[in-house]
Amino acid sequence: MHPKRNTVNEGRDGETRAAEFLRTQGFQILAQNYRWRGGEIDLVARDGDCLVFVEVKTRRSHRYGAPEESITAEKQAQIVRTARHYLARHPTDLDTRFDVVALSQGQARLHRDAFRLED
Amino acid sequence: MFAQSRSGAVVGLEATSVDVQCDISSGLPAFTIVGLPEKEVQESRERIRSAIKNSDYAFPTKKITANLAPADVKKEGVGLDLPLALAILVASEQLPEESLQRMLVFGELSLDGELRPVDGALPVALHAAENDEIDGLLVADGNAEEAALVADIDVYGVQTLDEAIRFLNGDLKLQPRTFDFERYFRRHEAYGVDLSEIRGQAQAKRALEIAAAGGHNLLMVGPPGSGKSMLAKRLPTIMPPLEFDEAVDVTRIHSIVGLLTRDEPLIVRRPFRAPHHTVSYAGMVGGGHGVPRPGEISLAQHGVLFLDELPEFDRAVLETLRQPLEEHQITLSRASTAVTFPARLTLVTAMNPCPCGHAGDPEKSCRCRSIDVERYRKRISGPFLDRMDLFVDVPRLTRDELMGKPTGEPSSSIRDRVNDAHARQRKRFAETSIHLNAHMGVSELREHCVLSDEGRTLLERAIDRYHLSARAYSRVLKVSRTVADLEGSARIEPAHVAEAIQYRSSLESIEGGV
Repeated sequence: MHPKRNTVNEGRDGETRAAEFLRTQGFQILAQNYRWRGGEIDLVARDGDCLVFVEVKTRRSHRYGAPEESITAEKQAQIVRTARHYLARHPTDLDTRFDVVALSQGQARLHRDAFRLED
Repeated sequence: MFAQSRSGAVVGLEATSVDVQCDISSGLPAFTIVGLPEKEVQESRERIRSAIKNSDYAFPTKKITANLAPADVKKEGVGLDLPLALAILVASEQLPEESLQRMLVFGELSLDGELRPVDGALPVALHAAENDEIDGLLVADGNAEEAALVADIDVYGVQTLDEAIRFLNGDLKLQPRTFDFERYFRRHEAYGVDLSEIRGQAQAKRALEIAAAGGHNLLMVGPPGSGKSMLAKRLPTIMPPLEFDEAVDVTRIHSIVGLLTRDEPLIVRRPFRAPHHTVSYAGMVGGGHGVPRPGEISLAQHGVLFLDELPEFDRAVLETLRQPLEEHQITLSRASTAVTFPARLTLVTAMNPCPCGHAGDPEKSCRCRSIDVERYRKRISGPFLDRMDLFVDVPRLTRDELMGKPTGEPSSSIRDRVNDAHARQRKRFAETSIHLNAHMGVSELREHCVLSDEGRTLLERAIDRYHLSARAYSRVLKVSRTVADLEGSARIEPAHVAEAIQYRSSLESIEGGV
């Protein structure tokens, strides 16, 4: 990795850009970078009648594949754990969903219902 | 929201009902299947999700739990895709609840929502027809023809999940599929081969006729290229045509193994199975992982099992054949299930007289050492040979026979004689579970195989000369009975006994070294 890159800031920038993008899609952003000791979720948003947990993935180039390809099973499990934590603190009757926003080369793509709980 | 659909799964030879229950509740989105699903059923989750989305219906973003009841039966196969998808659609109120009532559904979904045919449609349809609570069957178009064989139930075939949904909510009208049996039988009954195509070999042909008439097992011994396989392959052509019930029986087994083709959903010709000599135990008698599947002996049900190069077969595999050959069925036990498959077949076997194949050949000399010949013949156990009723030599054809015109009798006229012999046996064994002479027990032998004094003397002499075992003795009697039946004779005449003994004498040359 290039020593001068600040990946934390790049990630934070990505979250902000993704939040702006989601607002244009009619999402209402409830939290950005929600975290506890078990993990973190980049964005929590509301889309109509659905509570959405959003993972934002940023890639500067496609050299290592598209950004959405890099969400591993461990990452999914960590997001699910954090979502449970969020729901314990913020009980709701809404449906819930896991989305992914992929940012690369100046484009933003939204994947609704990107993954579900494994058994 | 809760919903239920009905489907079926094949366990062994029979189908069993499977109720697919689906509950959708709020919670983190998940899709879980419980109720002893095998791997392919677990994988159906991905197919169902994609198929529903790609058919422009919503896959609910809720917690989905599906249960396959009864929970103690292992669910295999991909046929549960459709009932699972429909239960989800009802539970998420995209399909009216009453639409699935009195309907049994099954089929595999592809990712784009296409409905694909699955194995075992016939057993499931037969099972559905027995259930009073079910009036209709909704399956993939590719399964509809096969399922429509069952007359007591309305069968509807659709191409896609979308069509299935539109049919169920009344937007798409479909006519139940029908099956034209008479036309079908006429079109598919012919075998494409005929016994008249084979020159010479009169004795072998006669042995085939006797085997067909009485259900006797046959061993042919002859050099390579003498036509043993050709002869065996034509045995079904001189056997009586399959009855409808028998055809369903045969088709059911082929359906489970996935050997049915779309243009031949009902098998109306007698099966001819010729497994290679490297066949495994499981391949021969049935078995495999999970729920056991039928093997060659069951696929040959009501037909012919041909074992060419008999001494090359694994001896253990041959020995496992003994019991099913006597009982006409095989039971395979597993920790969770025990299944019984039928095995009512005529066994035809063939071997060379020695490893090089030329022993006893007047024109080509055998180059095998006598110890090798002995070893070759010893590979077949005495008890196995004991279960053969007819032994016949199939010699190399002479030049005149080869070049001469085919003069053989056509299969159809031989079949007429065999039919008559079967009719006599049906009358004889009415109200018993026996169908053919070969299956007679001790008491039937005593009742139906009474010999004249002359016949008895003949047989006694043969016993002394060929050292016949008790089992071999009763086999000669049964063959005599069949020869008499072919002649239309109620009594067993000495000539019939003489012919039967003749099919024993060839055995001497095989057992000579033993």
